[in-house]
Amino acid sequence: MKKTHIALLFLLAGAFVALASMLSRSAEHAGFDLASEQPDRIVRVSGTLVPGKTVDYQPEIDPNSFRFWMADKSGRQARVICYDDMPYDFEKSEEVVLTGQMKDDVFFATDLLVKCPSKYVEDDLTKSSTSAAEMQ
Amino acid sequence: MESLLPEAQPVNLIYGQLGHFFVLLSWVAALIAAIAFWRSGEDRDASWLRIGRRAWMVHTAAVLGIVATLFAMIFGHHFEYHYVWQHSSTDLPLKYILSCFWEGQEGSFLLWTFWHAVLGVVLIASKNPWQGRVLSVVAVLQVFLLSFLAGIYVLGTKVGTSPFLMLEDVLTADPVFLFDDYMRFIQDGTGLNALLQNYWMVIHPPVLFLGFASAAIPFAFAWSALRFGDYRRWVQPALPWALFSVLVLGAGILMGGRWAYESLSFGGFWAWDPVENASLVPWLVLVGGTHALVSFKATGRALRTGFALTMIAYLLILLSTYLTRSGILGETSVHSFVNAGLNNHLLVFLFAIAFLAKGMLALHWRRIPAKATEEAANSREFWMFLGSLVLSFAALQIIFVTSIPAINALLGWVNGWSGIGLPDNIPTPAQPEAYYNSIQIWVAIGLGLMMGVGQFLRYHRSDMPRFWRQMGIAAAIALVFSALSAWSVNFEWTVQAKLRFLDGRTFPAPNSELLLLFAGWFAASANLMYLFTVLRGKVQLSGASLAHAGFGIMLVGILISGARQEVISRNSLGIDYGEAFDLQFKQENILLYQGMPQRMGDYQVTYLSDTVNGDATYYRVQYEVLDAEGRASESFVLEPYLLRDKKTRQLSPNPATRHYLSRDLFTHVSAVPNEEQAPQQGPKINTHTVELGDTVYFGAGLIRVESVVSLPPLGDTIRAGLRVFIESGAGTLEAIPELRIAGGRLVSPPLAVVGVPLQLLFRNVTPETGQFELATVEPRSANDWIILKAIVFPQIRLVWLGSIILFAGIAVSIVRRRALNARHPQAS
Repeated sequence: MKKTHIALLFLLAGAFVALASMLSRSAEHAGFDLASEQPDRIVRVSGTLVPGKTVDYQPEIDPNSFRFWMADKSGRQARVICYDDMPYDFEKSEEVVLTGQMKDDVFFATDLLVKCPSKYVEDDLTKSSTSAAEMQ
Repeated sequence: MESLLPEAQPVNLIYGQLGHFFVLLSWVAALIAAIAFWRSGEDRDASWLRIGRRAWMVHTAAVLGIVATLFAMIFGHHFEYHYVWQHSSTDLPLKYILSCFWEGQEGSFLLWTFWHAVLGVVLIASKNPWQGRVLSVVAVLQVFLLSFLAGIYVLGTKVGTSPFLMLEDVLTADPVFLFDDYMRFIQDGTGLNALLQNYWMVIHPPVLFLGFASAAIPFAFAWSALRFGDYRRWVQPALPWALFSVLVLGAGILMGGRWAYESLSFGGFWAWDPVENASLVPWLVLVGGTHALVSFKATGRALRTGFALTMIAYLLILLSTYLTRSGILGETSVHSFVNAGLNNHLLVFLFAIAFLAKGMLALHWRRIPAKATEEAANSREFWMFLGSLVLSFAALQIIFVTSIPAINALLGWVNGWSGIGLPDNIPTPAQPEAYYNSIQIWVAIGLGLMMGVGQFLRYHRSDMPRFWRQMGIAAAIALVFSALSAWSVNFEWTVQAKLRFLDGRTFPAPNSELLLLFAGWFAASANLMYLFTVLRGKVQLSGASLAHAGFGIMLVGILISGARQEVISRNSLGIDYGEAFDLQFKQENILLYQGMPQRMGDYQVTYLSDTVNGDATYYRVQYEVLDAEGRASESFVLEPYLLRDKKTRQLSPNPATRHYLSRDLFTHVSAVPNEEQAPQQGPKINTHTVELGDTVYFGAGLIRVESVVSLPPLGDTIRAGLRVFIESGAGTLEAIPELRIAGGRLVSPPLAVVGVPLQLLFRNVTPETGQFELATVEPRSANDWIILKAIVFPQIRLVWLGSIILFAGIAVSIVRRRALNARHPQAS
């Protein structure tokens, strides 16, 4: 057996460990249903803010948490408490991806990712600063 | 009414026509060049080569024409063109107008094409005997790349997107185009994304794309070598190009990190974001490939590795381009990728090149010369080969995890088409940063150790007693430096619960970060030692030593600034999250009322004022380091700011950083009041003379003075506390403001009450009458506050210092290799 083969075996073992450690520390993309069935599991839920419900962030009282309602892809709504500062213009977000766990129908999120509408592209003349509507 | 409107800019059609013409011309010229260069290689006919060169010159002129036209449109504010309207505006400073050019997909493809054209001209000028063969491949790449700029319909399918489309042809439905002089209504563009308004974004994209483009040259060398069965001689001329690509791509990646550090608020220069990973992975593989080529030059080994890695590196650049531009990574990235309708086109490009490259490699693999014997374990080439393997492993791990969303999409597509039911929901790491770090730290440890060892081993075999002596010295130096830095930033020696016995008992394990600390210092000290003792400081030979030493220093900097970073903007009193359970909370933000000082780490921090300047709002925050007597021994002001994006009206925070020699204090504003700011005034200060049991009123409630508390002295400083209860909407809270007597002076550190806009100062005590002086400080308006986040990054300068040494070392190697090639020219 060549030395190179031994090295390759080691790297293969490394790859196996990396994969195993990823699977044990990963969050599955799921909905609120799965999250409430398995409260111990850390899952990732994506969805949209529920229109009409307010986003509650009072940084004067606690700058490190905020609350809102989110509907997952299947339409199930849940109250979310997120322990972080609220991203700017969170209310305008198009899609929210949460990482966390569910307990008693409340989703506790430790991490969130916000996708904003057309961050790089604006293709609507009426939203531009000198829109036709404003000037007429 | 209409007369009040500004004059309409005339709609200028010339630019669009010129632009389309240049795109077409450059595409046709690239096609002719590809055919001519291709034939020149087959026929060994100088006339084909001449045609190819001329076509390439025409092609380059046309590409310059496209670039010049687009610049002229942007500089002239021709908002009748969609690209200009979408990516620029009249109020942008000149330097950011450059960034508008490559903000969009079309502009960045154009930048890529531009560098290919320029590099081709350099190859032609260099009289390199491989130029025809190499350029035949680059010309094919150009034909592909330019097709992304075509924006034409072929058999009813749109191919590419052009930057020269008129606004009215893109936004056809808008009623404004019913007017003949519609430009009256369009006086300005929608501007450049606020995040990109940073000087690193002026320089980072051109450098990165030069890195992408230059990686095509070693790829083209390798491919042509296979095509002509000329397996050995390509390595010598290709090596300086490969090194150049390693240098430029590496610098581009690092500039991206610097941009992220200076203008994004994710805190740090590296977040393992898919966009960052996508450019790092090809670099790692190319570094591996370059080492294999160097090893082949010296020993005749590792040629297959050199072929494979050089070619795969380029394929990974194409894969990365697809991943980052197609929007397929959606849920795992903070970058909002836009699917510009180029996905299938990108896939065709990727698969065509990958199929050709892999096919060639497979076809020729057996014929590529390889030595039957194995390298000796004490030879330099063995450890270089091992290093290339480890780099490839690192790249494979990163690209696999980054690609999971794409893999899921692919498996889902296969399922839908075949009905097999493969698992198409592979989960992604819950905390990507921690996950990547936990794997890649071992790669970095291995690389650091190998970099230290490699230089002292000689090709073929080494004198072992001497080697061990030198390693012993290097290791001793590294140990001293590791101990010093571990001590200076308080590394923990062990981490809990890493080793687990079968019965579930856990034991502390040594902290792997310390291993990396040693490995980094070992690489740095061994290579510097080699430079001064073996090479005797000869600059022209110092390339590898410098590069490896720089990389070692960089590893140390990355480790210390990453692992020992400290968020100092923590709420000192804390808030009870009763409803939460065993999740980890990042309480990383602090509330600052205007004019009311607050403790934060070693600093007393005061939010002074805000200033609006155009789309930006600056927040002046004062930092003071106080000595025991309350005097400021250091004082400075940082101005983090918020920038409102012109297009989306979204706010983005821009950090402000205080640079020290040994650390950075990195701060940004994470929230501000929604309402308009009240007129600026200082806080309301009231001083009350009270006795125990008295009640004092303030804006939001009342304060009951309860008792005097004796506090343990701090050195020579005598301390006393006054226990009070604060009743307000937030319930009843206990607080103990403090009075200090230091050197005969009275000092009253302000105490912020969490949850109530109030600060208390215990000012004085009159023992004879039993009276105390208690001051309340309240904001005049409850809206005069900001939420601040502050992180200390220790030793972050080592990252930048190490990278400069690394790149300087690669540059020295390029000069050295070119000089060697000039001395021993190849027969063509």
